[in-house]
Amino acid sequence: MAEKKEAGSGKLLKFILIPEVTSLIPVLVVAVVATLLNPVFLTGGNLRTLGTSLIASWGLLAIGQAFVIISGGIDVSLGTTLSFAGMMFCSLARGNMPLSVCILAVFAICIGMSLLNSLLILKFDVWPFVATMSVQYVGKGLANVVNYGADLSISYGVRDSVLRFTEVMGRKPLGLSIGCITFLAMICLAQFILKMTAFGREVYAVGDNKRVAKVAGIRVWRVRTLCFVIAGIMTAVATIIWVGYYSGCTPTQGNPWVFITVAAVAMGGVSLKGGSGSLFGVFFGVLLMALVYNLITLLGINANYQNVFIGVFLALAVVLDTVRREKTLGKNI
Amino acid sequence: MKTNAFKGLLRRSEFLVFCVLVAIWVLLSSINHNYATLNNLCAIMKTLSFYGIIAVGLSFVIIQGDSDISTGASAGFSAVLGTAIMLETRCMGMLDTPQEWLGVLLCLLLTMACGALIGLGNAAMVVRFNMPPFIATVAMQYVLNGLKMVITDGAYVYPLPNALLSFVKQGIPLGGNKKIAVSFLILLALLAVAHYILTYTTYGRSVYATGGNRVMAQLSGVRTSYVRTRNYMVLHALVALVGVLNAGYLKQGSPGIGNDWHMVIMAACAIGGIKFSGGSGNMIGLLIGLFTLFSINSAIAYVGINTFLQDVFIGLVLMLIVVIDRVRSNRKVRAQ
Repeated sequence: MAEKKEAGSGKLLKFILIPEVTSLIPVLVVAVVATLLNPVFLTGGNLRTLGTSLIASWGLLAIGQAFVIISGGIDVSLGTTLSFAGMMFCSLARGNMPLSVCILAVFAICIGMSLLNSLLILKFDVWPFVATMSVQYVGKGLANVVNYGADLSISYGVRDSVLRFTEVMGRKPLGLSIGCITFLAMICLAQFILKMTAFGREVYAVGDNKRVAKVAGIRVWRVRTLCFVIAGIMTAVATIIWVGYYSGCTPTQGNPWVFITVAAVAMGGVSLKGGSGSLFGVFFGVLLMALVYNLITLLGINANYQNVFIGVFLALAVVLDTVRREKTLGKNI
Repeated sequence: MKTNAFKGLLRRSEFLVFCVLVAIWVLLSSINHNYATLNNLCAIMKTLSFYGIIAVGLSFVIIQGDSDISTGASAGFSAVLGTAIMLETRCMGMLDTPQEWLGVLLCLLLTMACGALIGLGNAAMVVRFNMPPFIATVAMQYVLNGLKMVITDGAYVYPLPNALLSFVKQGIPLGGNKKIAVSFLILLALLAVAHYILTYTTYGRSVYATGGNRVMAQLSGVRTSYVRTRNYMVLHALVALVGVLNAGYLKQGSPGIGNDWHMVIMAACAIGGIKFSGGSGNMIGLLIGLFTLFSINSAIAYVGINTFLQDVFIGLVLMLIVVIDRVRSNRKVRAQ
């Protein structure tokens, strides 16, 4: 009997340790707690706010972060890159540049920063965290340099094309913001790329074991660079949507978002050691972080507890990952 | 023989950094005659002492093969906590009495004990649960950044006891209103002690051994978990000391203390030749590295370019040094 019971609990544990399930549980718990404590939570208005302001902004960054982490790296420079690119967008628009130039500049900056990251990590063999942290500081400084540390607004004094662009980005088809719709579409697209294409399988292989992947004939540097570039593209898209939606940018806009994305990706069941996880898990992770922010606001708790929660979730996710590896792979890592 | 010694000197990164330091002072004194003055030197020494005290603790952690980026957040947290303790307990009931300094000292020690607990938390995550040091300490950074705002709801803590305020104003007078700040003297004393520990004691050798090759160190009888935990605890006790001293210097326990310090401190360690791969580095290099970084930082202000470029500069410096370090060590591996 005891053996049978143990086997049963083992199965339950294994079910709970499926990444998507593990990440869904806290989402449900937080949602239930939120509904019980404050009935406003379940109203359409609040849920739309959740989708519009919270998920869209760092959700897109989290998708890029997920690619980088699954391929065995980490990119902590995404947030400041977003700030810098956003400030450049506004600065160019205020300089009477056409919309196309602004958008091109954003893509050039974001992809340029990604290539710099991959150059440091792949060519010079620098640890991903240290390399991207130095790039993070470069981006942080540059974002401030653009307008001497002040905000920039593009609601006036710009070309008509830019004004029309902000008007379009502010629209809400189907009641959801453009950012939220883009996020949902990108999650599906990214999941398709990771699970259904050869490139996706290469990403997992490289993240799991670079040497084995190389021996198996995968061009490791190419896959890893592409993952950084994907993160750059996601950052560029997030920047354009954000700047369009809010008609402006502050020089510290994206800075605090980086570790929210890392926590979201980790809570979504993606191992920070690389090589495992799915984008649906990441979706739940992003949803969890957004729910926690929302809950803290709704309950009127000191907003600074948000930081505490990010830290706790980050630590919790890594511990969970270790437990998962020990239980499912049966080896001591 | 003599040329060999000279070549050896050239190959030492500390010597090269020292040359850079001298070059900066020579160059800047020709650009702005206010730069190479005793006044500016005193200002630089005062600023770098706060970062330097933490850098001494952090270099032990880096030498043992780990890392910590929660130092800045920990400093801010300790600054608020320490000053709040002083205010709430009225310096252990000794405020405005002749024994006020004793009360301040007790509160400081209590704060340092809390700091050591933070270090223990980091060590628990890194050593016990085997988390990557960067991720674990980022988690701690976020928790502390949140808590430091929660303690006082983001408000500044003041007025601080006079004993603390007058203590941080102490120093060795150099004529006029110039003096070597007391925090710099503390830094020098710490550097001397750390140098002694690292060079002449078994404990110091076990720190190097842990960073060089942890498994080998363990097999040869070094209690690596003990060494790593202890270094983390000492680091955060020192961070707490800096937090309280800096609060005294600013005349208030401000939660803004320590914002982004971790990056500056890591850059200083990197310039000072404390390699992030662990197992190497020394205190003389660290002192030169500190002076170089803060001389350049001060130079940016004196030359009159956009001061926001300081962030860019610190990022670039860290990038450059780590790249040089990696290219060198890879070349060494290939040569073997």
